[in-house]
Amino acid sequence: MLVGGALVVVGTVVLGLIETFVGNPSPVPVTNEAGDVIASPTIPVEIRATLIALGLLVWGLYGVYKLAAPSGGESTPTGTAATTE
Amino acid sequence: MATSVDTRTVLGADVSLELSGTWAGYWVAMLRLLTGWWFFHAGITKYANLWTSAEPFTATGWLTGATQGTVVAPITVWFGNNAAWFVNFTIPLGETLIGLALLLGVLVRFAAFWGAFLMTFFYLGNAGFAHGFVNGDLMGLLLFVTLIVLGAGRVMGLDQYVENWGLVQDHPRLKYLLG
Repeated sequence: MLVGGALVVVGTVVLGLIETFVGNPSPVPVTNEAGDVIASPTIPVEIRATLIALGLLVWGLYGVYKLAAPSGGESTPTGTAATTE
Repeated sequence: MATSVDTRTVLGADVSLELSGTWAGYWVAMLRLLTGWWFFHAGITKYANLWTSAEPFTATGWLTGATQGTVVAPITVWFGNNAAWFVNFTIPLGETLIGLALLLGVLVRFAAFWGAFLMTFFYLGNAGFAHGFVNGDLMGLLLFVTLIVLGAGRVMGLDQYVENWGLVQDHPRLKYLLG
């Protein structure tokens, strides 16, 4: 969960912040009405998309692993919960 | 009644979430119903040609055209060129069944997994990043992940009954497919 989430957050938030302040405020090239590119992204959109895709892949594989893994580690999937009045 | 959720396994931080069971329960059920209707509607209306003069659904143009240059293009273009019939068959059926499962609250984690799977391709394949990487497609994907994490089918859904079946009691791992 942490690894996948970190990859997704890096691809969206972290690189997005860097891109916004040092490069292009948009992940894709910005053009004016004439179609000229007036700002280009510093970080290629493919790199960010790949990072996010890897994060989602980690989540998916972890879900499959939880289902297929040998029993023994089975617990409440959302963690332990204690009731307090 | 408040429920304190132990989060010490989250980076070792000794904090706790105090949830209102009532609010959390209604909220989880609402997320499930709205997400379910979203996908059920998206799926069933792709069969509109069965009762209107609409064109039959086809994803071929999206697979071989719109996804060109995206990180999922190697997969989508291959399917578009070699097995478009499979995608044209499974997307409407999958969306309809995923939506139906979420609406009924049955096999919610299993359905939401495939919902997230489809949304991964829609998100990365649409490549509509002109307004940023966090867009509606990613939000929809995160909704499915949320339903998985929270086991949303237990609240006002059929999974709360299915989980009591002997088969599930004997094979607790099946709960990873249920709410």
